[in-house]
Amino acid sequence: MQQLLPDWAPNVHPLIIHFPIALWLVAVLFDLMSLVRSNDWLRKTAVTIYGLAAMGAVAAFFSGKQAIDLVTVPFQGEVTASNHSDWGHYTLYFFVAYAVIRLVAYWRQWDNKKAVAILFLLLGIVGAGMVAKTADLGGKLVYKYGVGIKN
Amino acid sequence: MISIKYSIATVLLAIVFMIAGCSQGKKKENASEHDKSEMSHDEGQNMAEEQAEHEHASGEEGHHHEGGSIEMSGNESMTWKPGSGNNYTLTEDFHFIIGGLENISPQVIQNDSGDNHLQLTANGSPTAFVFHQTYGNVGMAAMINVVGFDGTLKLIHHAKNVENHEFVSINGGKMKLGRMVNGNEEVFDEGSFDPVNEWINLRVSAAGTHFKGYMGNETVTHGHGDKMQDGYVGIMLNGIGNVLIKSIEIVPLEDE
Repeated sequence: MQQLLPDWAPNVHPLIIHFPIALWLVAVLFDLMSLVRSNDWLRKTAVTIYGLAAMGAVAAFFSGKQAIDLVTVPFQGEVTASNHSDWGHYTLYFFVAYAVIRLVAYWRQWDNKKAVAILFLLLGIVGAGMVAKTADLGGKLVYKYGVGIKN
Repeated sequence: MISIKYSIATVLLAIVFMIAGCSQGKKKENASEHDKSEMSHDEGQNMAEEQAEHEHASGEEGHHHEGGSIEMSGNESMTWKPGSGNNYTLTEDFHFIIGGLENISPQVIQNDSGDNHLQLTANGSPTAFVFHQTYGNVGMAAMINVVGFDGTLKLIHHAKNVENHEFVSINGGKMKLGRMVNGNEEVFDEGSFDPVNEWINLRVSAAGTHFKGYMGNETVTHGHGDKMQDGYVGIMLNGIGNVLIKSIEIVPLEDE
Protein backbone atom coordinates (compact mmCIF):
# COMPACT_ATOMS: atom_id res chain seq x y z
CA MET A 1 0.00 0.00 0.00
CA GLN A 2 2.80 2.35 0.97
CA GLN A 3 4.37 1.84 -2.48
CA LEU A 4 1.22 3.11 -4.19
CA LEU A 5 1.42 6.47 -2.43
CA PRO A 6 2.98 9.50 -4.06
CA ASP A 7 6.40 10.13 -2.54
CA TRP A 8 5.26 13.36 -0.86
CA ALA A 9 2.48 11.65 1.08
CA PRO A 10 3.46 10.40 4.57
CA ASN A 11 0.48 8.00 4.56
CA VAL A 12 -2.89 7.49 2.89
CA HIS A 13 -4.88 9.51 5.46
CA PRO A 14 -4.52 12.96 3.82
CA LEU A 15 -5.65 11.50 0.48
CA ILE A 16 -8.89 10.14 1.96
CA ILE A 17 -10.08 12.72 4.45
CA HIS A 18 -11.46 15.19 1.92
CA PHE A 19 -14.08 12.75 0.66
CA PRO A 20 -16.28 12.57 3.79
CA ILE A 21 -15.97 16.33 4.29
CA ALA A 22 -16.98 17.27 0.76
CA LEU A 23 -19.60 14.54 0.36
CA TRP A 24 -21.34 15.40 3.63
CA LEU A 25 -21.55 19.09 2.75
CA VAL A 26 -22.95 18.29 -0.68
CA ALA A 27 -25.50 15.94 0.90
CA VAL A 28 -26.63 18.74 3.23
CA LEU A 29 -27.09 21.00 0.21
CA PHE A 30 -29.23 18.37 -1.46
CA ASP A 31 -31.29 18.12 1.73
CA LEU A 32 -31.75 21.88 1.64
CA MET A 33 -32.84 21.76 -1.97
CA SER A 34 -35.27 18.92 -1.34
CA LEU A 35 -36.80 20.96 1.46
CA VAL A 36 -37.42 23.88 -0.88
CA ARG A 37 -38.60 21.67 -3.67
CA SER A 38 -39.96 18.31 -2.59
CA ASN A 39 -38.56 15.83 -5.02
CA ASP A 40 -37.88 12.11 -4.71
CA TRP A 41 -34.76 12.32 -6.84
CA LEU A 42 -33.23 14.98 -4.57
CA ARG A 43 -33.98 12.92 -1.46
CA LYS A 44 -32.61 9.76 -3.05
CA THR A 45 -29.46 11.62 -4.07
CA ALA A 46 -29.00 13.08 -0.59
CA VAL A 47 -29.36 9.64 1.05
CA THR A 48 -26.90 8.13 -1.42
CA ILE A 49 -24.33 10.85 -0.77
CA TYR A 50 -24.76 10.56 3.01
CA GLY A 51 -24.04 6.84 2.59
CA LEU A 52 -20.92 7.54 0.56
CA ALA A 53 -19.80 10.13 3.12
CA ALA A 54 -20.23 7.58 5.92
CA MET A 55 -18.14 5.08 3.98
CA GLY A 56 -15.53 7.78 3.44
CA ALA A 57 -15.56 8.47 7.18
CA VAL A 58 -14.90 4.79 7.90
CA ALA A 59 -11.92 4.86 5.53
CA ALA A 60 -10.68 8.15 7.01
CA PHE A 61 -10.99 6.78 10.53
CA PHE A 62 -8.99 3.62 9.92
CA SER A 63 -6.36 5.40 7.83
CA GLY A 64 -6.02 7.97 10.64
CA LYS A 65 -5.64 5.23 13.22
CA GLN A 66 -2.76 3.86 11.19
CA ALA A 67 -1.27 7.26 10.39
CA ILE A 68 -0.93 8.53 13.95
CA ASP A 69 1.67 5.88 14.74
CA LEU A 70 3.64 6.57 11.57
CA VAL A 71 4.21 10.26 12.15
CA THR A 72 6.09 12.19 14.80
CA VAL A 73 3.97 14.44 16.97
CA PRO A 74 5.87 17.06 19.01
CA PHE A 75 4.82 17.21 22.66
CA GLN A 76 3.05 20.53 22.09
CA GLY A 77 0.79 18.89 19.50
CA GLU A 78 -0.16 15.80 21.50
CA VAL A 79 -3.36 17.27 22.96
CA THR A 80 -4.47 18.39 19.51
CA ALA A 81 -3.72 14.89 18.18
CA SER A 82 -5.78 13.37 20.98
CA ASN A 83 -8.68 15.74 20.38
CA HIS A 84 -8.52 15.08 16.64
CA SER A 85 -8.71 11.37 17.33
CA ASP A 86 -11.63 11.78 19.76
CA TRP A 87 -13.59 13.97 17.34
CA GLY A 88 -12.81 11.45 14.57
CA HIS A 89 -14.51 8.80 16.68
CA TYR A 90 -17.58 10.94 17.39
CA THR A 91 -17.90 11.96 13.74
CA LEU A 92 -17.60 8.39 12.52
CA TYR A 93 -20.31 7.13 14.87
CA PHE A 94 -22.59 10.03 13.97
CA PHE A 95 -22.08 9.66 10.20
CA VAL A 96 -22.70 5.91 10.18
CA ALA A 97 -25.73 6.09 12.48
CA TYR A 98 -27.21 9.01 10.55
CA ALA A 99 -26.67 7.34 7.15
CA VAL A 100 -28.40 4.17 8.36
CA ILE A 101 -31.33 6.18 9.76
CA ARG A 102 -31.65 8.11 6.51
CA LEU A 103 -31.64 4.90 4.50
CA VAL A 104 -34.40 3.42 6.65
CA ALA A 105 -36.35 6.70 6.57
CA TYR A 106 -36.15 6.80 2.78
CA TRP A 107 -37.17 3.16 2.48
CA ARG A 108 -40.16 3.74 4.79
CA GLN A 109 -40.94 7.10 3.13
CA TRP A 110 -40.72 8.92 6.49
CA ASP A 111 -38.68 11.70 4.93
CA ASN A 112 -41.68 12.76 2.82
CA LYS A 113 -42.96 14.65 5.83
CA LYS A 114 -41.81 18.25 6.08
CA ALA A 115 -41.08 18.10 9.83
CA VAL A 116 -38.96 14.99 9.42
CA ALA A 117 -37.10 16.57 6.51
CA ILE A 118 -36.35 19.68 8.59
CA LEU A 119 -35.10 17.52 11.47
CA PHE A 120 -32.86 15.58 9.09
CA LEU A 121 -31.48 18.82 7.65
CA LEU A 122 -30.67 20.10 11.15
CA LEU A 123 -28.96 16.83 12.02
CA GLY A 124 -27.05 17.04 8.74
CA ILE A 125 -25.81 20.49 9.73
CA VAL A 126 -24.74 19.08 13.11
CA GLY A 127 -22.77 16.41 11.23
CA ALA A 128 -21.18 19.14 9.09
CA GLY A 129 -20.13 20.93 12.28
CA MET A 130 -18.62 17.74 13.66
CA VAL A 131 -16.59 17.00 10.56
CA ALA A 132 -15.50 20.66 10.46
CA LYS A 133 -14.22 20.40 14.05
CA THR A 134 -12.36 17.18 13.25
CA ALA A 135 -10.89 18.71 10.11
CA ASP A 136 -9.87 21.88 11.95
CA LEU A 137 -7.91 19.85 14.51
CA GLY A 138 -6.34 17.77 11.75
CA GLY A 139 -5.35 20.91 9.88
CA LYS A 140 -3.83 22.33 13.05
CA LEU A 141 -1.75 19.20 13.48
CA VAL A 142 -0.25 19.65 10.03
CA TYR A 143 -0.01 23.41 9.64
CA LYS A 144 0.69 24.43 13.22
CA TYR A 145 2.71 21.50 14.51
CA GLY A 146 4.10 20.20 11.22
CA VAL A 147 2.90 16.64 11.74
CA GLY A 148 3.38 14.54 8.62
CA ILE A 149 5.49 17.16 6.89
CA LYS A 150 8.63 15.83 5.31
CA ASN A 151 11.77 17.90 5.76
CA MET B 1 -41.12 28.51 -10.16
CA ILE B 2 -38.48 31.11 -11.12
CA SER B 3 -38.53 32.63 -7.65
CA ILE B 4 -37.90 29.20 -6.09
CA LYS B 5 -34.87 28.75 -8.35
CA TYR B 6 -33.59 32.20 -7.37
CA SER B 7 -34.11 31.34 -3.71
CA ILE B 8 -32.13 28.12 -4.03
CA ALA B 9 -29.35 29.90 -5.94
CA THR B 10 -29.20 32.64 -3.30
CA VAL B 11 -29.02 30.15 -0.43
CA LEU B 12 -26.27 28.17 -2.17
CA LEU B 13 -24.27 31.33 -2.85
CA ALA B 14 -24.69 32.46 0.77
CA ILE B 15 -23.40 29.09 2.03
CA VAL B 16 -20.39 29.23 -0.29
CA PHE B 17 -19.52 32.76 0.91
CA MET B 18 -19.95 31.74 4.56
CA ILE B 19 -17.65 28.76 4.17
CA ALA B 20 -15.04 30.89 2.34
CA GLY B 21 -15.31 33.61 5.00
CA CYS B 22 -14.92 31.17 7.89
CA SER B 23 -11.92 29.60 6.22
CA GLN B 24 -10.16 32.97 5.79
CA GLY B 25 -10.94 34.04 9.34
CA LYS B 26 -9.54 30.81 10.71
CA LYS B 27 -6.45 31.23 8.56
CA LYS B 28 -5.74 34.66 10.01
CA GLU B 29 -6.31 33.39 13.53
CA ASN B 30 -3.92 30.53 12.98
CA ALA B 31 -1.33 32.84 11.48
CA SER B 32 -1.41 35.09 14.51
CA GLU B 33 -1.26 32.10 16.85
CA HIS B 34 1.73 30.84 14.93
CA ASP B 35 3.43 34.20 15.36
CA LYS B 36 3.18 33.71 19.07
CA SER B 37 6.10 31.40 18.53
CA GLU B 38 4.69 27.98 19.09
CA MET B 39 7.35 25.36 18.60
CA SER B 40 7.91 24.62 14.92
CA HIS B 41 8.07 21.12 13.55
CA ASP B 42 11.81 21.34 12.99
CA GLU B 43 12.34 22.42 16.54
CA GLY B 44 10.11 19.62 17.77
CA GLN B 45 11.92 17.01 15.76
CA ASN B 46 15.36 18.21 16.71
CA MET B 47 14.52 18.75 20.34
CA ALA B 48 15.58 15.30 21.39
CA GLU B 49 18.90 15.40 19.61
CA GLU B 50 19.65 18.86 20.88
CA GLN B 51 18.92 18.12 24.48
CA ALA B 52 22.48 17.21 25.28
CA GLU B 53 23.76 20.38 23.71
CA HIS B 54 20.93 22.52 24.94
CA GLU B 55 21.93 26.04 25.79
CA HIS B 56 20.11 28.92 27.34
CA ALA B 57 17.94 30.60 24.78
CA SER B 58 16.59 34.08 25.09
CA GLY B 59 13.45 34.19 27.20
CA GLU B 60 14.40 31.07 29.12
CA GLU B 61 15.01 31.08 32.80
CA GLY B 62 17.48 28.74 34.39
CA HIS B 63 18.72 27.95 37.80
CA HIS B 64 21.76 25.99 38.83
CA HIS B 65 22.75 24.44 42.08
CA GLU B 66 25.22 21.85 43.14
CA GLY B 67 22.81 19.09 42.19
CA GLY B 68 21.27 19.65 38.82
CA SER B 69 20.48 22.52 36.54
CA ILE B 70 16.92 23.21 35.53
CA GLU B 71 16.01 25.33 32.56
CA MET B 72 12.48 26.63 32.28
CA SER B 73 11.02 27.88 29.03
CA GLY B 74 8.09 30.20 28.48
CA ASN B 75 5.48 27.44 28.24
CA GLU B 76 6.55 26.00 31.62
CA SER B 77 8.48 23.16 30.02
CA MET B 78 11.59 22.21 31.90
CA THR B 79 14.86 20.51 31.09
CA TRP B 80 16.84 19.00 33.94
CA LYS B 81 20.52 18.17 33.68
CA PRO B 82 22.89 16.87 36.31
CA GLY B 83 25.13 19.53 37.85
CA SER B 84 28.81 19.25 38.51
CA GLY B 85 28.93 19.22 42.29
CA ASN B 86 31.08 16.68 44.06
CA ASN B 87 28.52 16.26 46.80
CA TYR B 88 25.57 15.68 44.57
CA THR B 89 22.25 15.63 46.37
CA LEU B 90 19.60 14.01 44.22
CA THR B 91 16.92 15.00 46.70
CA GLU B 92 17.31 18.69 45.83
CA ASP B 93 15.43 18.04 42.61
CA PHE B 94 13.66 14.77 43.36
CA HIS B 95 12.08 12.77 46.12
CA PHE B 96 11.71 9.04 46.40
CA ILE B 97 8.40 7.18 46.31
CA ILE B 98 10.11 3.84 46.81
CA GLY B 99 13.68 3.00 47.74
CA GLY B 100 16.30 5.60 48.48
CA LEU B 101 19.73 6.94 47.70
CA GLU B 102 21.36 3.80 49.04
CA ASN B 103 19.67 1.73 46.30
CA ILE B 104 21.01 3.72 43.35
CA SER B 105 24.17 5.46 44.61
CA PRO B 106 23.83 8.58 42.43
CA GLN B 107 27.04 10.07 41.15
CA VAL B 108 27.78 12.77 38.63
CA ILE B 109 30.45 11.83 36.13
CA GLN B 110 31.91 13.79 33.25
CA ASN B 111 32.64 12.48 29.78
CA ASP B 112 35.64 13.49 27.67
CA SER B 113 33.83 16.51 26.24
CA GLY B 114 32.95 17.80 29.69
CA ASP B 115 29.25 16.87 29.72
CA ASN B 116 27.83 15.79 33.04
CA HIS B 117 25.97 12.53 33.36
CA LEU B 118 24.13 11.23 36.35
CA GLN B 119 25.23 7.67 36.99
CA LEU B 120 22.91 5.47 38.99
CA THR B 121 24.12 2.11 40.22
CA ALA B 122 21.03 0.04 40.96
CA ASN B 123 21.36 -2.74 43.53
CA GLY B 124 18.24 -4.66 42.57
CA SER B 125 15.74 -3.02 44.90
CA PRO B 126 12.89 -1.20 43.15
CA THR B 127 13.62 2.51 43.37
CA ALA B 128 11.66 5.46 42.03
CA PHE B 129 12.48 9.14 42.27
CA VAL B 130 10.20 11.91 41.04
CA PHE B 131 10.34 15.67 40.61
CA HIS B 132 8.73 17.69 43.38
CA GLN B 133 6.12 19.25 41.07
CA THR B 134 2.95 17.51 39.91
CA TYR B 135 1.60 17.49 36.35
CA GLY B 136 -1.58 16.57 34.48
CA ASN B 137 -1.25 16.10 30.74
CA VAL B 138 2.47 15.81 30.29
CA GLY B 139 5.26 14.85 27.93
CA MET B 140 8.50 13.49 29.30
CA ALA B 141 11.73 12.71 27.46
CA ALA B 142 14.82 11.23 29.05
CA MET B 143 18.19 10.92 27.36
CA ILE B 144 19.53 7.75 28.94
CA ASN B 145 22.06 4.99 28.50
CA VAL B 146 21.05 1.56 29.81
CA VAL B 147 23.82 -0.51 28.27
CA GLY B 148 25.17 -1.45 31.70
CA PHE B 149 21.78 -2.10 33.23
CA ASP B 150 19.96 -5.40 33.51
CA GLY B 151 16.32 -4.90 34.43
CA THR B 152 13.35 -2.62 33.83
CA LEU B 153 13.54 1.15 33.58
CA LYS B 154 10.29 3.10 33.73
CA LEU B 155 9.42 6.69 33.01
CA ILE B 156 6.56 7.24 35.41
CA HIS B 157 3.94 9.98 35.40
CA HIS B 158 0.67 10.74 37.18
CA ALA B 159 2.35 9.09 40.13
CA LYS B 160 0.63 9.23 43.50
CA ASN B 161 2.80 6.52 44.97
CA VAL B 162 4.51 3.36 43.80
CA GLU B 163 1.19 1.51 43.63
CA ASN B 164 -0.59 4.19 41.62
CA HIS B 165 1.14 5.61 38.59
CA GLU B 166 1.31 5.45 34.82
CA PHE B 167 4.41 4.42 32.94
CA VAL B 168 6.30 3.50 29.85
CA SER B 169 8.90 0.86 30.60
CA ILE B 170 11.76 -0.70 28.68
CA ASN B 171 13.54 -3.95 29.28
CA GLY B 172 15.96 -5.08 26.58
CA GLY B 173 14.15 -4.45 23.31
CA LYS B 174 10.66 -4.54 24.81
CA MET B 175 8.54 -1.54 25.66
CA LYS B 176 5.40 -1.59 27.76
CA LEU B 177 2.86 1.18 28.24
CA GLY B 178 0.40 1.07 31.10
CA ARG B 179 -0.55 2.01 34.61
CA MET B 180 -0.48 0.68 38.12
CA VAL B 181 -3.71 0.99 40.06
CA ASN B 182 -3.58 -0.07 43.70
CA GLY B 183 -0.60 -2.24 42.87
CA ASN B 184 -2.24 -3.98 39.93
CA GLU B 185 -0.64 -3.52 36.54
CA GLU B 186 -2.85 -2.64 33.58
CA VAL B 187 -1.05 -2.79 30.23
CA PHE B 188 -2.31 -0.48 27.45
CA ASP B 189 0.10 -1.62 24.77
CA GLU B 190 3.35 -3.47 24.23
CA GLY B 191 5.91 -3.13 21.49
CA SER B 192 9.48 -3.85 20.58
CA PHE B 193 12.37 -1.83 19.26
CA ASP B 194 15.96 -2.45 18.23
CA PRO B 195 18.09 -2.15 21.34
CA VAL B 196 21.02 0.14 20.66
CA ASN B 197 24.32 0.29 22.46
CA GLU B 198 24.25 4.03 22.88
CA TRP B 199 22.23 6.91 24.27
CA ILE B 200 18.53 6.61 23.70
CA ASN B 201 15.81 9.21 23.91
CA LEU B 202 12.92 7.51 25.69
CA ARG B 203 9.74 9.56 25.53
CA VAL B 204 6.24 9.23 26.89
CA SER B 205 3.22 11.44 26.40
CA ALA B 206 -0.06 11.48 28.29
CA ALA B 207 -2.68 13.66 26.64
CA GLY B 208 -6.16 13.13 28.02
CA THR B 209 -7.01 9.49 27.51
CA HIS B 210 -4.26 8.94 24.94
CA PHE B 211 -0.87 7.57 25.94
CA LYS B 212 2.18 7.00 23.76
CA GLY B 213 5.65 5.63 24.23
CA TYR B 214 8.36 6.69 21.82
CA MET B 215 11.89 5.59 21.17
CA GLY B 216 13.37 8.76 19.71
CA ASN B 217 10.83 9.91 17.15
CA GLU B 218 9.35 6.47 16.54
CA THR B 219 6.06 5.55 18.18
CA VAL B 220 6.48 2.10 19.72
CA THR B 221 3.43 1.90 21.98
CA HIS B 222 0.08 3.67 21.87
CA GLY B 223 -2.78 3.02 24.25
CA HIS B 224 -5.83 4.48 25.91
CA GLY B 225 -7.20 4.67 29.41
CA ASP B 226 -9.15 6.89 31.75
CA LYS B 227 -7.59 10.22 32.59
CA MET B 228 -5.83 10.13 35.94
CA GLN B 229 -5.44 12.90 38.50
CA ASP B 230 -2.31 15.04 38.45
CA GLY B 231 0.76 13.35 39.83
CA TYR B 232 4.52 13.30 39.93
CA VAL B 233 6.82 12.43 37.05
CA GLY B 234 10.12 10.66 37.38
CA ILE B 235 12.14 7.50 36.85
CA MET B 236 11.86 4.04 38.35
CA LEU B 237 14.53 1.36 38.25
CA ASN B 238 14.06 -2.31 39.01
CA GLY B 239 17.25 -4.16 38.19
CA ILE B 240 20.99 -4.27 38.64
CA GLY B 241 23.73 -2.22 37.05
CA ASN B 242 24.48 1.27 35.80
CA VAL B 243 22.10 3.73 34.20
CA LEU B 244 23.38 7.03 32.83
CA ILE B 245 21.07 10.03 32.53
CA LYS B 246 22.08 13.01 30.43
CA SER B 247 18.87 15.03 30.69
CA ILE B 248 15.18 14.88 31.47
CA GLU B 249 12.69 17.12 29.73
CA ILE B 250 9.19 17.73 31.09
CA VAL B 251 6.57 19.47 28.95
CA PRO B 252 3.11 20.23 30.34
CA LEU B 253 0.62 19.51 27.56
CA GLU B 254 -2.04 22.16 27.56
CA ASP B 255 -5.52 21.84 26.17
CA GLU B 256 -6.44 24.36 23.50
